[in-house]
Amino acid sequence: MTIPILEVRDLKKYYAASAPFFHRGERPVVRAVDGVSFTIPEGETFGLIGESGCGKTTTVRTLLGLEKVTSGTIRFAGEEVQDADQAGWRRYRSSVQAVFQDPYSSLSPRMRVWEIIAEPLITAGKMSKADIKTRVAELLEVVGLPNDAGERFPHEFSGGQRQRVAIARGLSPQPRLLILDEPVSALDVSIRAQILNLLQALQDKFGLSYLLISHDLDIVAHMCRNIAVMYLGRIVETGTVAQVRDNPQHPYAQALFSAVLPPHPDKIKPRIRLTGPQPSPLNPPSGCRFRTRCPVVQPICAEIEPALEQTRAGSRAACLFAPRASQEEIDR
Amino acid sequence: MGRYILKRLWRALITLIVISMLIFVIARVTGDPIAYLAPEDASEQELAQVRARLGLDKPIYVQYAFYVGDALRGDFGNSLRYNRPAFEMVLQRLPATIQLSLIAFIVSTILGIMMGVLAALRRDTWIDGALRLLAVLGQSAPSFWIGILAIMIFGVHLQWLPTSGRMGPEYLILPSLTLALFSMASVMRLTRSAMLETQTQEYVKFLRAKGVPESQIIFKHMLRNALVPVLAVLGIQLSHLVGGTVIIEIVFNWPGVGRLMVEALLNSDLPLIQAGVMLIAISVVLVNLLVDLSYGLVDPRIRIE
Amino acid sequence: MTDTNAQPVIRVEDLYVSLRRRRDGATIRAVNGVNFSVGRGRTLGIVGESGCGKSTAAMALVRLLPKSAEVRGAIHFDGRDLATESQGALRRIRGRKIAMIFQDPMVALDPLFTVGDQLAEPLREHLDLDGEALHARQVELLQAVGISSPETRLKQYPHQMSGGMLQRIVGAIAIACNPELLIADEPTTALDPTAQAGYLELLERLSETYGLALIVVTHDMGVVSRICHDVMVMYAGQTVEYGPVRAIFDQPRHPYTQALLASIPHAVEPGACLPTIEGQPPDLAALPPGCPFAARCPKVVDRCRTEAPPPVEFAGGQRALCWRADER
Ligand SMILES: Nc1ncnc2c1ncn2[C@@H]1O[C@H](COP(=O)(O)OP(=O)(O)OP(=O)(O)O)[C@@H](O)[C@H]1O
Ligand SMILES: Nc1ncnc2c1ncn2[C@@H]1O[C@H](COP(=O)(O)OP(=O)(O)OP(=O)(O)O)[C@@H](O)[C@H]1O
Ligand SMILES: [Mg+2]
Ligand SMILES: [Mg+2]
Repeated sequence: MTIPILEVRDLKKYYAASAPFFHRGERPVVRAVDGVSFTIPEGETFGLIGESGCGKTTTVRTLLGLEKVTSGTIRFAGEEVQDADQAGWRRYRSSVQAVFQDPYSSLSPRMRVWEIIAEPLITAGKMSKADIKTRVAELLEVVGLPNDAGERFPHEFSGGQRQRVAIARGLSPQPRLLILDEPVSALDVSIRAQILNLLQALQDKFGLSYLLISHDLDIVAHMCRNIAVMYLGRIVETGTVAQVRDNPQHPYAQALFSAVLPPHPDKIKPRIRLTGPQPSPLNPPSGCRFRTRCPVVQPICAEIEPALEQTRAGSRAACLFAPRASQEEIDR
Repeated sequence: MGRYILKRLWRALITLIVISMLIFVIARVTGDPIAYLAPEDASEQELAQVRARLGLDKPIYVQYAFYVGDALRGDFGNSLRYNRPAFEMVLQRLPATIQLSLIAFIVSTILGIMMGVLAALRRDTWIDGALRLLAVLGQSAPSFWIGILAIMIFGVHLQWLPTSGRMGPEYLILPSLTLALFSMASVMRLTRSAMLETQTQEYVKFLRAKGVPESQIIFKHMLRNALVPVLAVLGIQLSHLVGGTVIIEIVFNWPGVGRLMVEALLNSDLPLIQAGVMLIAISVVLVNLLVDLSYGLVDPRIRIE
Repeated sequence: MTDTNAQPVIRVEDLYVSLRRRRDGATIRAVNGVNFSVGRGRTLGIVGESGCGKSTAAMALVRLLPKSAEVRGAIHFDGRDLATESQGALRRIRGRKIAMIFQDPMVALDPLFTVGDQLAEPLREHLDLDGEALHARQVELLQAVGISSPETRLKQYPHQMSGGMLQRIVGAIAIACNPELLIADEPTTALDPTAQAGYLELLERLSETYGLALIVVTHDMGVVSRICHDVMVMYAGQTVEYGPVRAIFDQPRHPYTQALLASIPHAVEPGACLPTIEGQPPDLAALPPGCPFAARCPKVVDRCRTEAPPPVEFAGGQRALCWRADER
């Protein structure tokens, strides 16, 4: 067995919610990520999808060290990193880069585009000035920006062009794992296709691994081998794309995939409606977190918190009523 | 917020300790005070006696421990020159310096911010040009030169304002304005560029799209955002100001700690120097702490960790 | 739904916008002749390549452009021409009669003020709401856009929200004063499919009950097919194709529209290469003569490079800007 590039076990991230300054008693906490585990094999793309506000970006921020982990472990290429020493952490951070969903705030407005792209190279301090210049020119070409774009400032670009700058910067230190949090949601269809093709070409060429977060399930299905569906800080179903998309077992995953809009007015199907408000991560429902909006909820769901179990359809789902796989099916 | 405050307090304490060490070490390695104190024809033996009396013959870390213990009790020893408690002497002069630098600080901050906002709103007009020219002058002209110029114009020529001493409020005007000029210029430039930067922000456009009145956009939203980077440097500005008082106090014959320090330096009056620098350092650290805390009030991203 | 643009809410004629590039003072011709109208209860989708001037055109409608921008053409709204209206008069229209949802929700809100503060501003300004009534309306709006525990969320700052929440809050601010026209620039990019579906239904409901006219700028053909009646396809600042949504999907006339529809990943098998449009869009500071798409067009003929194509009209109100639009 080869060592996976990233292994996340039981990751939790709680925020202190804002409370009055002199607050007595227990402070309320936002359970943004509440026990998430997944594994990304080297050279593969792993998709993380789920409801807006379910903790995807928070997961990414903890992986990048932008937030302190509340508990759980992160293993990169077999090495535990969340408590690593400075050198270990620096090594890890240079092999993991991220591209975020907002192309405005992630780019410093005072830096020229080439400086933005070269920044990780300059801080690493391993390349000569001329080499950096050629590498930046290469990267601009790779993401489809004109050559003179390097001399401009981010605000002179449209939203989509800015996102290409962000991708170029993410690629510049030649990371092993690239975290893509909504990397193409600001791009038009054609450039989106270019970027996705580009990402796949880079993967084939350099064996890059990706953690892809997107609300566009078509894109996720196109890019990923394995995916995980999150709901309110937890993974509720995970498996291969084919398993989860074509035959989702968890009622939330079913609702999610039924709401995907096809790109033609004639193909729109009725969706599974979720009733009731989205519960808050401040005090998640007892038992199954989805029970307050679940179309097939039973009284028992309030009492037992379901764990991820192998289903007959092949995926693993956290629902008491998903058809379980028998022992021999699991062995197979 | 509680943790933020604790962190700042801790940092302030560390800063003070480091400063006290620096003051102590620097004072000990620059010149031998005995040479000034003892009569010129004193014998080696007599010199050793004086050293022993002042504790200058002990190992340096012992001297430091004594020094800290005494300092905590407000005892920096007697001034070698005047033979009076150094702490008391400095304390006597401190109000004058605090008055001068505090007024200069307030004036430079308020005027600097107002001028910065004005320059940004009137970008590329003659007002902007004039203000920026003023800023360049304020930052590049040495303050003693400005001080002397001010004395010549307002004191000697126009005879509007007194130029020497500290007898009433009108005596404050020239020295505090002269002192304020430099940091006013930097606050203004920073405010101007921060305001210009917020102008291009999406949320400002979105506020316009909501139909919020322009005055509210400028003074409620843009100004508060522009203040974030400005507040960050106010602490540094204050240190500049306090450093600047030395020259201003000499030029305007202002009876403050700065002038006392210069005298003390010329005399190698160690206890006096130590007491003076320490007290100034404490006040600077305290004001810095206040600035840091106000930073947390303005920016929720710092307040809520 | 059939009594189309009897009395359009907004009618835009020959809109041109040029921007000044600060770096070299060059003139960017971001919008070059855009025509459309949106009636009560109707929804227009604007699609097109990144950087083709969609957001600029949207901003131009309420004149929220940099000072150096030049706007030509007519923007008929509410019996006046917004292109010539004073900024003071526009301020009273903005947020009240014409509301906007900005493209990037992460930066649309002031980081130093709570969500509640920023939601209250238009309500105070335009509707004079205060106290209890204001609070009730704030809560109602957050609930309408599907945000749970609105009381807590109102007291939070933007950095404490997820991208999708911010986007819905920006939407809540936009619909706060029941506008007549809503210009939504990529309103659902940060929403998951279920939240997106709920949100689009809300917009549709507003449109059907209050006759809200809606302009949606988007890259998502799913959104277009779900809520739009008409589509405008832009390329290099021009309306290259315009028409009812079904016609555009079934019979795209302009080669750019055809290429655009072909590059959706939906139709392609996983992992395979997605079709793209080769080449780069033209520099808006130096537009070529003739058709701006000519350099990348698979159907290009000599004429395209020298002469600008005229609009060709088709049945059902579809029109395209192409020399070869009526060839099949
Ligand atoms: N700094 C913070 N303080 C308090 N709560 C936070 C903070 N950051 C995020 N949260 C909360 O954590 C939860 C998860 O947010 P997160 O940004 O991870 O969601 P997401 O899955 O990325 O959503 P989206 O798809 O909308 O981007 C939300 O309820 C959010 O309000
Ligand atoms: N303030 C500005 N100064 C100079 N050029 C600008 C400015 N704003 C936008 N542009 C240019 O104008 C053109 C149109 O930009 P616009 O933001 O309208 O594109 P868009 O169609 O909305 O793209 P996207 O889909 O990526 O959001 C782009 O080429 C952009 O580089
Ligand atoms: Mg997110
Ligand atoms: Mg745009």
